[in-house]
Amino acid sequence: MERTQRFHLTPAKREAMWAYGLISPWLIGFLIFTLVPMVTSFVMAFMEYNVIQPGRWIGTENYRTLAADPLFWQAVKVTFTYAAMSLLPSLALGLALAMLLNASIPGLSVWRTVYYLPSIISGVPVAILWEFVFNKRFGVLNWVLALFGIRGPGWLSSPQWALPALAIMSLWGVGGGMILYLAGLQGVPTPLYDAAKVDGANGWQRFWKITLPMISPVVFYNLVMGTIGTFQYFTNAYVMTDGGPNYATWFYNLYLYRNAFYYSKMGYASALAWVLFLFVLVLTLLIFRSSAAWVYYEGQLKGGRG
Amino acid sequence: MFTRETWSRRDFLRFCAISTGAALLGACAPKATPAPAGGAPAEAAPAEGAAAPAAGEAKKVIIFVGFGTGTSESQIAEENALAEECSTALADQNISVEMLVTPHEEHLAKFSAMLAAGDPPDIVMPIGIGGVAELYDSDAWLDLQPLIERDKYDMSDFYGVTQTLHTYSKGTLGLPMAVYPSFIFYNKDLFEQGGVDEIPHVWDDPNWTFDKLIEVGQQLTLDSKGNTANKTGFDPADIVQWGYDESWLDFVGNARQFGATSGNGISEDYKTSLFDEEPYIQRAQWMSDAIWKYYFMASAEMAQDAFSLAGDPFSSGLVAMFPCHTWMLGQTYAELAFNWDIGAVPQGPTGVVSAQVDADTFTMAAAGKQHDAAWEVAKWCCSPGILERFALTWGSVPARLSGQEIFHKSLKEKFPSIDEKVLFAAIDYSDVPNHEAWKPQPAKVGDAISAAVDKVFLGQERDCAVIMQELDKTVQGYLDEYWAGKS
Repeated sequence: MERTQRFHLTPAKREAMWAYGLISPWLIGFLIFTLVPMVTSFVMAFMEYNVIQPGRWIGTENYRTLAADPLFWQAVKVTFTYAAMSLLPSLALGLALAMLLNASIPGLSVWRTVYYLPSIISGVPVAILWEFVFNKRFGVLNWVLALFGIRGPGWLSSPQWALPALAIMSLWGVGGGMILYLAGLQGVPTPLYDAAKVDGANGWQRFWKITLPMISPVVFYNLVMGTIGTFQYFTNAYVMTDGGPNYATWFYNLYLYRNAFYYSKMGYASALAWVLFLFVLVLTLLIFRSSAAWVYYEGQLKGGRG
Repeated sequence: MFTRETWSRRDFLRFCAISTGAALLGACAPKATPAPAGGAPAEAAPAEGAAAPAAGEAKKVIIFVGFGTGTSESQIAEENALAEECSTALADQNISVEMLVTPHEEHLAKFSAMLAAGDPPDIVMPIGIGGVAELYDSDAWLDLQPLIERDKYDMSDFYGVTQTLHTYSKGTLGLPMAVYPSFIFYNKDLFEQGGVDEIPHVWDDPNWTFDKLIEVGQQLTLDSKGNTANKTGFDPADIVQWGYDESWLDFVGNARQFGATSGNGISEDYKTSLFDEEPYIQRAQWMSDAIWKYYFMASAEMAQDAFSLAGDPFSSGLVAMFPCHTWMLGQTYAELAFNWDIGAVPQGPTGVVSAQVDADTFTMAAAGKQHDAAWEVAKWCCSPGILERFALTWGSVPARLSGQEIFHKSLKEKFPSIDEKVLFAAIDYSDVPNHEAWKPQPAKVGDAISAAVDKVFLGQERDCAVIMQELDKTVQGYLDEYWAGKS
């Protein structure tokens, strides 16, 4: 005979149930649009599946194919090269702009808005705009170079310059990071600078010994988000170069997209997606691991000397 | 439910399990319905079956637009007007028509998703040979032959070549609707300024060869000082006008002009890549030399520099000869600021004259639930008088012989000075088997070909034997991979 244990809901449990009830739209959305597709793609990575016909279980074949696929390695090479070219300049420029806009200059709010604006305009229109910037004959970039007597290349049509061009273009979005740096800079206590000045520290020393350590959590955050964003790079390459010329901008996500929606190889695309996830996970873990050495939190004691 | 304060633990867990399960089931409800294998004939497909609307019930036929042309604003307006007319014409059969227009970039993803969800559109239109090829291997298309035979549909009014282009080993996958022959657009003003005779309008002229094309091309190529490409002192780094540009044609299809027997670089049994054969190497070398040896065709960098703002090389006014298809007639060529005409494609070294052709049709989804209604709509779209309107909307020659007059009239109104005989004659030199014809892993092979073309246009390798052998190896790898998966 079934024994039913009745229990009385405590106010805390009732509150928890209310909370779950209220966040259930998000929870259901997460389950349907994130968790289920993730699990599905994990399973699909072991299948040959073209969406139209039923999938066929092929075990680890997709992962083995991937290891021997020259286009996969080209995509990895391009994505890592791009990350190396764009990530640090973006972080540095964002910080530099934030420091400039943290100074008391006339029209500060206007300048902040101006530098932040590009980061909220993104996607296809920006890609088209930059196609004009990079145009060999009519582009602004080559016009500026010509003022210094330099004959600019055909940025997007040259295998040597297409990737650097996209890295230059990535600086367009530094305004997003800049705002965070600005918030971090404004949180640095001014007495620290006053004390350093009294001790005779110059501008560089104040930046290196006070500003950078104090905003290191923001740098850390921007680095993690930047790394993830870089490995998800897609739109500009899709619109502006479509992976060319001759695979010079063959980004990882572009190859993934082509496998899924051009080659109808959903299984292989899923395997690519999970390998990308692993790349990003490992890199993020490495950054987290390294953070103990360079990220400082207020009130945190370091090596018993803090 | 939260007003009830006394719940059993099991009740609570049950509630959670049921709500989660319901949400998941709800999301997954439209279960994927695989298409019938083998391009199943109409009788075998679920035509008007249990899943189909009962007789007399209103049937809405969805026409999917996005596999090819037909997605510009003006085209959509005309297509919608035709859909409305079709609904009126077929009202007695209770059939209505709706156009589902999708941006071309998303066509495959959207169409595949609709198929997978068990809710495919009934008709895809317009769709070219390459579009059919994209899903040919997935058995997405219905064989129309049983319907053609059942209704004794008269095919005699269609160009013979267009019928061939839509007939596959899996059956007849579409009725001919539109043909896009290619020929050479040429800038009469540049010919006149250069004192060069205009190119022949007669096809099969033995004096109009690819060697002659080099000669004419060089005479019409100028550097900024006005030197032609065949003169000493010509500066190839400072070209301001080019004699020729074939960058808008299919690189593989051009090899037929040099004696290639396959349309798409793959053997008849689809198992062997033929890109290392002489016609492919020689044709690629001709193109490479046109850019890097004789300088009458623009490199990739020069093309981006000079033509990108104009939209296409010919519209820039900087190119004297531009082989391309009739699509350009649907674009802005009526407003070009120079005089132009059209001429014939030269004869290849082995005497072959071949002009690439594209052809549009409609296809019916094999997994569609109302084949008979869709067939009625398709027949209406292909009927005399209507087919021509679709074709003109898409910038093509109507595939019906009887439609020539309407096309001729429209062409004369828009382009009074061009020699339309060249255009109609081009159909007789169509590349059959076609450059867009199905091959294993078409998109992947297409990407490999594009990479090889990039190498030619970028000048990364001037010896095309090297490029083509590398392409051959890559494509052979894809073919082997495909057949290994089938075994």
